[in-house]
Amino acid sequence: MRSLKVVIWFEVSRTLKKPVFWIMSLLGPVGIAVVFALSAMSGVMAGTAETGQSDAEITFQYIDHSGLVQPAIAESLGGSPIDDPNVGVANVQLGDIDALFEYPTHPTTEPIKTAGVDSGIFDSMKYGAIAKLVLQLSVQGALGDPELVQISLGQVNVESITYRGSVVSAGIWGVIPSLIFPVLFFLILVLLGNKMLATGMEEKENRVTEMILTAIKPTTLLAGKVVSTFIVGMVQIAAIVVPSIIVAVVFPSVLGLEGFHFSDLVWVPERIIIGVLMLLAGFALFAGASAAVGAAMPTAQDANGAFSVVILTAVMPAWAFTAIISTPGSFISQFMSYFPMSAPVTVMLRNALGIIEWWQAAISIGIVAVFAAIAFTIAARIFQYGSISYAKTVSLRAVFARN
Amino acid sequence: MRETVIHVEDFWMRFGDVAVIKGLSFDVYQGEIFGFLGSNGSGKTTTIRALLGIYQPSGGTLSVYGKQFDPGVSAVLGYLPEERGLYKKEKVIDTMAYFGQLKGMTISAARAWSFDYLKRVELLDKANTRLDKLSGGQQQKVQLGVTIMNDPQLLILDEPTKGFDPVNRRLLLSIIEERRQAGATIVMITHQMDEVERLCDRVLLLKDGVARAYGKVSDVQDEFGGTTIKAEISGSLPASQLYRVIFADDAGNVELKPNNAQPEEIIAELVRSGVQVHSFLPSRRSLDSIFVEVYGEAAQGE
Repeated sequence: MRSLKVVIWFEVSRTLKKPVFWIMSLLGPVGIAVVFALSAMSGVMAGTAETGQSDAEITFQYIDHSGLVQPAIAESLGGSPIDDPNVGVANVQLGDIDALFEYPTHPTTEPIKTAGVDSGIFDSMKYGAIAKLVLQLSVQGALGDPELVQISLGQVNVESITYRGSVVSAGIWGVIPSLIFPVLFFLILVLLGNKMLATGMEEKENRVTEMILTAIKPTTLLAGKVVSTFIVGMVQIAAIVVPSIIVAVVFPSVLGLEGFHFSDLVWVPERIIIGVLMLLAGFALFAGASAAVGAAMPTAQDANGAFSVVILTAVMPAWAFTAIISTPGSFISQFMSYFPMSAPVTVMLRNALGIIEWWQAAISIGIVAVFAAIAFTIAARIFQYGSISYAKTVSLRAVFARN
Repeated sequence: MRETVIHVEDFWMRFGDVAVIKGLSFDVYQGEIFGFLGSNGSGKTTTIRALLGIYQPSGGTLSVYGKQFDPGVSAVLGYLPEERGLYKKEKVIDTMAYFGQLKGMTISAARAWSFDYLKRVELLDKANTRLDKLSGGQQQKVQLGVTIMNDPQLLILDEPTKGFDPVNRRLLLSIIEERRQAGATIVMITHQMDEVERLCDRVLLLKDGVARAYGKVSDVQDEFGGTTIKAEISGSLPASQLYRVIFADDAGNVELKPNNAQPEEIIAELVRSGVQVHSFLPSRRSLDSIFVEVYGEAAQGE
């Protein structure tokens, strides 16, 4: 136990002490913040431009085949009716008016045609905006009642309640907290994939295996490295998530979260427990498999091919995502829920969406945990007997024949 | 009776169908320097790896202080393997402190010991430098430091001077002497026969997985020919029933093995034959020539 603590402390502290770790960790949130800031600024600019376009004062003539345009409204916006479109186009070409609008008989199925003086790609968009505004205001004026107008625009709220038996379901607010786990799992694979691979490789590449194996058991060393990788991963994820939460709380509009309150989230204990257990079991499985690959290969370059296969099996459920969530009882969904490498993501997704029974999740977690233990044992064995094969790939047959 | 530190009995090691070690048995006693000799591929490193639990033996008993080796008691062991390295991206002091802790020291004791050692080998100013920024010789010094942390009672040095520059070789030899004086047991796996003759109390010559010779250095020398005569002469060496020529070179250096003859009879024979004898020194046969006899000329240069 003492050696385990020593390894964990050494591995965690040496990673956290490196500036490059923090630079890489904070690069994500900084990048996201920049993108959000840019998109927010673009949104403001686009909104301003759109408002400006529809508010622009122009002179126009119009031909109304629909009979929906109210002349008073058109006039208030600078318009006057004509009968001949050719005359209107000629007026535009002469510069007597800014634009001609021709409203079709059926505006919902046919386009409104505009012809205007070219004032640049973006500024010329004002003709379309004003043509639509004239029609919208005319129709709203015909309805008379502002409430009818709002309803016609779909500006109504819906409050839904669903039941599981006699219990009210958590709904979308219950899904979000459990979705954290598959997201965390993916983040760990993306951020820590190389570190997990290095678990069984670093000692071999540095020719330090023999010295270290006379000071510590291979299982203890690997366990310490896996645990420290998880701790480092959590620190790295916290470095990404904490600033995001602060932004969400302080500047919700930046993330498009107006009206969202953390108190709205519903933390379903059963789903949280399943999520935590599957996250840990899944991490242990992939860490063990990655360590085994790393210990078996002479260099990181040689290990990349096999490691890609390991990672690919983790993202398999993403290809069958629709089938998994729409028909949880289907063969593909069941297979992915119980196949060790695909089970973590599949079960965490189904768990978040509330479409898996607890006992199904328990079986799946058990399978993943057992295979994690097997992967870990194989990794330790390869590490012990294979990591002194410095220049060649280790075969499992050779490793397990050493008895 | 001295305590047995290492006990190997009927040790077999097979890789697939090939038996690399065949029923090897030997003991290493407390406080001695034991030379474990053999050409490349003779099974020396394999034996040590099996002794330290890195390899699983195919058969037999291997024990350290009466028990199968357990890394949990590594505090007693200092091991310098043939394949050497450290965590190259880490600082010197962090690496040494890490190994010190794994050997049972507290972090403060490990750091204090490391600073003392670095001061001794004039690397104190490199304590916070990454290992890959050190020269090869400086890395060797750190490696040696890690090996002897926590004053091990048993030192196993596999090809200890391999790749070492003269400065570090001298440092290593002084460390061996210090550990010997402190009562530690030292196992040296080496090809350097001059070092073996100078340092070792007992030796084992391993060939093709079996012990070709085993015992005190003098006993092994006796077993392979007892006394020899090293002489420097001018003139051609005559054939004689009194001796056999073991070694002769163009500069007139010869080594003769007496055939039940006394040294004075041999020198008289040489003088009678008109040979000018510049020096004449009866001595035990050198381990170097025994090594060549056992393993052949090719092995000498390995």
